[in-house]
Parts: sequence; structure tokens; C-alpha cells
Amino acid sequence: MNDVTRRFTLVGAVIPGALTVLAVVVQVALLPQLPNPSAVHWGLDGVDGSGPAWTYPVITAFMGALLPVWLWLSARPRMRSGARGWSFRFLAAFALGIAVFGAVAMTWAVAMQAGLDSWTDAPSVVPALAVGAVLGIVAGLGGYAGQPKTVTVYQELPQAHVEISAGERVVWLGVAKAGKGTVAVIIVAVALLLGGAVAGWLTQEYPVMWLMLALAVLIAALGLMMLEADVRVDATGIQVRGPAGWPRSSVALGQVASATAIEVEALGSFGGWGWRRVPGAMGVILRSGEALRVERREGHALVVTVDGAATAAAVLTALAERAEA
Amino acid sequence: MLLRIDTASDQPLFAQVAAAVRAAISQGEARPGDRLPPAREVAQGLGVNVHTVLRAYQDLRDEGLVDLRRGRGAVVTDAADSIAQLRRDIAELGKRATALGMAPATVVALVRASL
Repeated sequence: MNDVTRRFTLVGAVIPGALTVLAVVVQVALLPQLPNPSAVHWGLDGVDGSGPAWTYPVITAFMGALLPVWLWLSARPRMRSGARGWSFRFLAAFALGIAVFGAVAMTWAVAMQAGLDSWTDAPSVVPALAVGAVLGIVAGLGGYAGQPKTVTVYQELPQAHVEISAGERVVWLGVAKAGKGTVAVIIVAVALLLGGAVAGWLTQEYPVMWLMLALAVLIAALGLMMLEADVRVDATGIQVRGPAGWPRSSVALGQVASATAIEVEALGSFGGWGWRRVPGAMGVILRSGEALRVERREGHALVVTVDGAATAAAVLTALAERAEA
Repeated sequence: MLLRIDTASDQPLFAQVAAAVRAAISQGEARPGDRLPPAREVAQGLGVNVHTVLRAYQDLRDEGLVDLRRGRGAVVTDAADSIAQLRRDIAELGKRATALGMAPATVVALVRASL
């Protein structure tokens, strides 16, 4: 295994994973000494909520292990087969920061309650959170600095070839579509917010109702942008447009340096889904998988996840070559 | 969906657009239930009038290949599957006719007579 992947694995999975396991073990060992129920919630005036003590190790495990497990299972295989990108480095550092914050803050909150008679005696949780946050940020920055700077490298897919003669006019039209998971998440989020708005209306909490309604509209609008984008390749170049014609991004034919079909990992290469700007590229990333990558002569690339990317790339390449001739 | 027309051809543009869509369907680029690209998009991409594309879509509807529905655009019908099934036979026929030096008009006339 090469150095980039080894350090990525160390920062993003091994260290946060080990820290989380250690924190959970320490917390579980302390559980018998905690008041039952234990303090689990603090307000402005100090402790104000109680719950079972096992909440702490469970939350610690979720916070600390979720991202490392995902990075290990999904991102690491891609890196081993050659994918490189800014997001891999960032996500690994982020995983480490979150794990350190969770381990420190949660273990502190458990340790400070050891030997207390009642949850109401629990001291303020602010020092635990503050120290945890500072250490988490330091660990995140250290984890980022501890990984080598890499240029983005995508896995290329088999390329196609299209012949276009002098008198021909050609258009390639495609629709980039979101995965089923994304659609489900958006629908559930909007439904929950609308449910919250109805609850606010029924309980006459009108500010809550308006807030929930506004959030539902915002999420629905943002979600719509993440569902579909039209892709058109023709003699003018390539144009990608969201629903209702916005947002849009394009590369003029004369600006096309190369067009290729690549494999994209949404979270690993672009840090998530949607219309995203990362160093060196603008991505219309509605799902993981097959994508069209158009490199500009100036260097900034446009990447869009669309079925039939190989054909689209071949058409764009042929058009650009014909315009040059 | 890849659509191509040839400005040097004698065939009218609408017929070429219709033929391009048929070719795309026969290659499985559009399946029953899929929507054809909006006529405006095709027209802009090919640099032709939008009515030319609409005329082509109407011809495809008359053939039973697509349904034209208000608000939903042109939707590919189940007939697309039949085309996809015949695709290999048609390609084979074209290849043999070319090898035998037959004029395209003759082949078309013979095929039409056999139906």
C-alpha cells in the first residue's frame, strides 16, 4: 500500500477507531459508579435533564466510529485503486476531529459524575465540551497536515469513440438523476418538517410553525436542485442546467481541453451531493458512479454524474476535434 | 440520447430528426416509458427550427412509437421493444444489400412490399 492511502487510513480510520474504543471501554468501566439515572442534559442554568448512563458510550461510539467505518469500507478501496482528492484528506481529518471531541467530552462528562449520589449534583458540562472542542479542532488540523497534499485523480472508465463528418449536426442530450437514497432522504426531511409545522400549528407555537414551514420550503427547493439536471452536448460545447434552467454551468467548445468518462465517489471526491465547487472542479454530483468530466484549457473542470457519459465524452471530443481542423 | 442529422443530405430535416430518434430507440437508448428530450432542446442542439422537431415527433406518434401528452412531452411506447428486437435483422439486411450493391430505394421498396 502506498504512503497516501496508509496515512489516510491511519488518520481517518485507525486512530479515531482506536480512540473511540478506548473511550467506550473507560466509560463502560465507570458506569457502575454513576448515579442512576445520570445527568444527560444541561441548560443555561446548569444540569436540567436525566437519562440512562449508557447513553454516553452509545453516543461516543456513534460519533467516533460512523465516519471511520464508512471511510474504511467505501473510500479506502477507491484510494487503493488510485483515486485521489482533496475530500479524502478532509474527511479523514474531520473523522479524527469528531472522534477526539466525542471521546474527550463524553468521557469527561461520565468521569465527573462518578461517585455522585444524584444526577442533580452534576457540575457544569461546559469545560468538558470546551476542552473536547479545542482538542478536536487541533486533532483535525493535525490530521489534515499529517496527510500529503495530492492532486485530484479520478478512475477513468472505458472510453467510447464517435465519428462526426464535416456536414453533420450532432446533439447529445442526457438527464443526470439523483439516486433513490437521495430522493428518499429529501422526501423524509420535507415530510418531517411539515409534520413539525402542523404540530406547531396545533399547539399554537406559531414561531415554530413558521420556522418549520420556511425550512420545509428551503429543503424542498434545495432538494429539487439535487434531483435532476439536463445535460446538452452540441456544437456550442456542453451545458448543464438544473430544474427551471438554474443553476447552470457550461464549457464552450473552444474551451474544451479534454472530455472523459470517469467514476466518481460523491462523498470522497466532492465531499457530498449537489452542485459543488471543489479545488480544480465544479461538480454536479447527483449520485456516485459514471460521470462526464470536461477539462477546460484554463484547467478548471466540469464534472457531471450522468448515464451514457462515455458517449457524451466521445461526442464532445469529436466536435472539438472537428472545430480545430 | 445521441441525435445526428446531415445538412448535405437530400432528406428533409424533420425526416432526419425522426430517423435519428428511431435509431436511438433501436439501440436501446430510450425504452418504453422514457421521455424523449424536449423539442426545444433538440432544436437548439441541432440548430433547426423547433417546429421541425415537433413535426418529427408527430410522425413518430403517427407510427405509434411515441405518445404525445400535454405537459408530459413525448413518451416512448411499448413499440420501442419491437424495434429493438428487429434491430439485428435490419442491420444484417442492410449489410447484405450493400454487399450486393443494391440501391437503398430498391431495398426500401422491397421491404415495403413484403409488409
